[in-house]
Amino acid sequence: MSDHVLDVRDLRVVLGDRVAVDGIDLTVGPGERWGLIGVSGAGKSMTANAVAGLLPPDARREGTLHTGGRVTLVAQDSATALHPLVPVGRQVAAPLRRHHGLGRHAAARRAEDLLADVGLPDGTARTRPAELSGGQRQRVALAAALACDAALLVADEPTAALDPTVARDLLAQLDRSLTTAGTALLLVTHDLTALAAVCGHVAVLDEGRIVERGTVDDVLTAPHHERTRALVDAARSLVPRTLPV
Amino acid sequence: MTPTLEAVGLRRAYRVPAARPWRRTTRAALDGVDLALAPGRSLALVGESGAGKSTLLRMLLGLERPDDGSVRFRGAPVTPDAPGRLRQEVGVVVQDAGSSLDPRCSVRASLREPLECLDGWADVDHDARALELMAAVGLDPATVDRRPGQFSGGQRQRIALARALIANPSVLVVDEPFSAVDPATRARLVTLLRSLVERSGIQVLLVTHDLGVADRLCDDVVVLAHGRVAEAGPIDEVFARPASAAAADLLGAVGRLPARR
Repeated sequence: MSDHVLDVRDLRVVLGDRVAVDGIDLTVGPGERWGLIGVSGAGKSMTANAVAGLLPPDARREGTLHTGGRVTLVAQDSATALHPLVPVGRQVAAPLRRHHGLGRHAAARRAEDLLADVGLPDGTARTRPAELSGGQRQRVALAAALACDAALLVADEPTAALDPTVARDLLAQLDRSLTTAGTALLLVTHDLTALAAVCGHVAVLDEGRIVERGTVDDVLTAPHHERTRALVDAARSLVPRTLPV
Repeated sequence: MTPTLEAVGLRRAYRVPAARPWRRTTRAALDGVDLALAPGRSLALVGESGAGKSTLLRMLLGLERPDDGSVRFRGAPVTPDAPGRLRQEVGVVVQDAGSSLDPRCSVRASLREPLECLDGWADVDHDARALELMAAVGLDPATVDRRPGQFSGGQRQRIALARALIANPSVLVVDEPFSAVDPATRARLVTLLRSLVERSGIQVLLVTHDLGVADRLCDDVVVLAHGRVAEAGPIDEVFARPASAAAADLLGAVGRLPARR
């Protein structure tokens, strides 16, 4: 077996009579950061869900999928990903107790540290999700994911529900946290600027297959496949023409 | 010249849940907002979440009464009880346009409804108009008897746009129209809207986070922050040389892509 944190060979995901993922090969090395881009319905989220072990019960998975360590997830919608009634400190502490065998007090202290690490103010541990803003809740979700001490973090559109300014800050935080922990990343995103901000590699999906892959720099500056070109051109056409220097 | 749509000194405070419920705590959502949609121009309303964009929009559409201040459409006051010409002349695409369509109704029925409610459409063939608008937003008119659930998210946005345009409005209000779709679809929708605007001379009032979309569709911009207008002016001037911290912050958060090789 390789030393990859993720090794996917000929992955297929079938939902009823629809083939959502149609033969994907992808390997992610330790600390590598991969983005998955593509139009809606290209199979990005299904691939991410397959990696995170969160396929819907009626989905059929084929092919091989090996992970070299724990895989953790930051979901798109932190409002539903967190338990509404449990203080966020306890939610971050839960994986520390389960996976690292920490006692209640040690886990609570470590959870406070993790919440501080992702830039949340003191006292956040005692609040419930509804008392936090969307950006703060995504930071809590990130802290909980980091608490797992995983080899690979899967993030499905983590900034889609956030303001641009809040999204930028969260991506910067994600970047710092991944660097510190040495965690690899699989990021599903529509936002090519988010991809450029945190990922080193990218795979472009279309109709369940990878049509192009390479470094983010190469793919965004010189896309080869027509689907990639369409995506990159669309993203470029939506950047304001004038910006302050 | 009289602005097409105008807000003067709008104020609105909401009660917020407090740690001590016996104390009345309020938060100002709007704190003296002036805004004008100048004749023949399109306006973008931008700002972070919580800046007051949605509250302002509800008042501009005569859906909510301000605590203080007034809204005027073509010089005539607009209130929830007496919206005046506003209902006749303003088409609206709401934030989650796809789910604003009745899932039980065919697209044909959803498109015909505004024509049945508004003045001046009794003598027009509603079905023909519905098919015309389907084609105008780039959808196959043969699919008009399907229900919203049989369309993709981007297609549902087009249907909502067709519905907003069907009664030939002079002003189109769009609230975060394209945040839920992928960039390729978003670029197509922006191009579509832009061509419709250029062809029909309709004025757009756009509420958005997405400064790129604002830049493509609008002439002027109002930057809202903490319930106040932080900055207003022609969009290219404000984007090139923001004078307020709020505008500079928003522009600073615009993601960059590496230059093309």
